This record gives sequence, C-alpha cells and structure tokens, in this order.
Amino acid sequence: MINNCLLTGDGVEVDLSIVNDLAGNDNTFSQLIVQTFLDNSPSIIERLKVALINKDWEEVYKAAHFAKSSLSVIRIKGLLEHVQQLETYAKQKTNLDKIPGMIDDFESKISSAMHLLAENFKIKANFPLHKPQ
Amino acid sequence: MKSNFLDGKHILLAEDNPVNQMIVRHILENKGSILTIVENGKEVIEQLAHAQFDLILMDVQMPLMDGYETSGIIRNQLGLKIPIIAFTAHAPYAEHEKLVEFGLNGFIIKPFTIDSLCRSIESIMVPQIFSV
Repeated sequence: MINNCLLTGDGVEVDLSIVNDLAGNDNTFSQLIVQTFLDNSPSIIERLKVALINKDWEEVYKAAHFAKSSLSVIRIKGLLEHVQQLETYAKQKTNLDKIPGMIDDFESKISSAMHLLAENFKIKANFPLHKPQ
Repeated sequence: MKSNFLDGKHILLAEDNPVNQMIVRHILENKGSILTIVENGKEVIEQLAHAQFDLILMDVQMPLMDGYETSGIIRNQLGLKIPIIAFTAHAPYAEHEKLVEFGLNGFIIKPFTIDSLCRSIESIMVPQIFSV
C-alpha cells in the first residue's frame, strides 16, 4: 500500500490513488507501474516535440492520445485535461498557435512529476535531469 | 465472481500503451492466464492466423488498424466468434452502437480496477464455459 497517495513538489501534484487501487499491498506492482511510466514518458515528450517541428498535427494528436492512457493511471493534476485539449486542437487542426506552448507546459509538468516519482519510489532516473523553471 | 475462470485461458491483448500492457499482464497472469501482447490491429489478425485464443482484449484506438476495424475483419472476413472486449476511454453510451455494429461483445472503461477488469471478462466468458 502506498503510504501517501498524493505527492507534491516542483509545482506539480501527483495523485497515485489509481495505482493504489490496482496494487493494494503489492508494492512490487506499484513500483512496476511507476517504473513503466518513467521508462516511457520521455519518448512521449520526444514524439510530441518532433511532431511539432514537422507540423505533423496528426502525429501530435496520436501522441497526445497515447499519453492520455498513462495519465489516466498516474494522475498529474491538470495534465490529463491539458493533454485532452491538446489532442482536440491537433485532431481538429484548430488553435494551432497554442500547441507549441501546450507541449512546453506538458514537458515541464511531466518532467517535474517524473522526478517526484523517481525520488519517492527510489527509482534511478534514466531520463534527462531537466528541472523546469 | 468465479475465482478460477481465468486460469489457463489464452488471452490476446491488443494495446499500444506500455503502462496498460504491464497492468493487464500483471493482473491476468497472476490469475493464471496466458497472455500474448500485440500493439495494433494488424498484429491481432496475424496472431489469429496461427494461434487460438479464448478471448481478445483490444484497445479501441490503436495505430495502423483500430479496434473497430480489427473486430470487423475478425467477424466478417475471418468468421471467428471469439469473444472480443474493447478497452475504451469513452462513456459506453457514446460507443454502444459502434460496439454492436463491429461485433464486439463488451467494453471496459479505462482506467479500470482489478475488479472491473475481471468482472467484465467473467460476464463474457463464464456463460460460454458453461454453455457447452
């Protein structure tokens, strides 16, 4: 059982209640869920950034949709809604001028959350030690 | 809930997100199921060409070929009656017509719990087990 389902720090709040519901007293399972999230999040950031450079809105939409699945399990306050908005803009090709800022915000928040999770679960970070400003 | 209905069952999981893959694998393998994991609908069709499964769990939105198109091929081209349960992030009322149209047997809303996952599978599989 995770002792504290709400982690805060670096301007983010991470809600682990879904992880707790899934893993219960199985600490290995909760550790595995967090580790898998940490292992895969950097590739989502990269995918969004590359898609943005290429102005490939279809790929932005797909990457945002992909991110939603992970963020529905590891709940970073406001980020699921943020990614849903990004997904909608990219899919509908509307508000395209907002997409670069939204991807920056996504990177900043998810990076903070990743550091928070790595620290709390004592997982060695295998992602860039980027500290959001 | 029957405690052992998942034991020994061959389940094909089609899901491209590693977090969800890991969660489903952990839950179902702990209950004795044998899991094969693929990442898109095309790989589902490839698997069905050379292996038999008791159940397909399939994300609705996957790359290359989505869950609906894949299910349509399984039903209409391959003529298979294998139970298919969709993972969906959408409310069931928004998806219901499509689920029926493409021959899916049920749905699981993401994020799911161990209980909701197992109950959804049981509701589809257990009647078949006892209907021989």
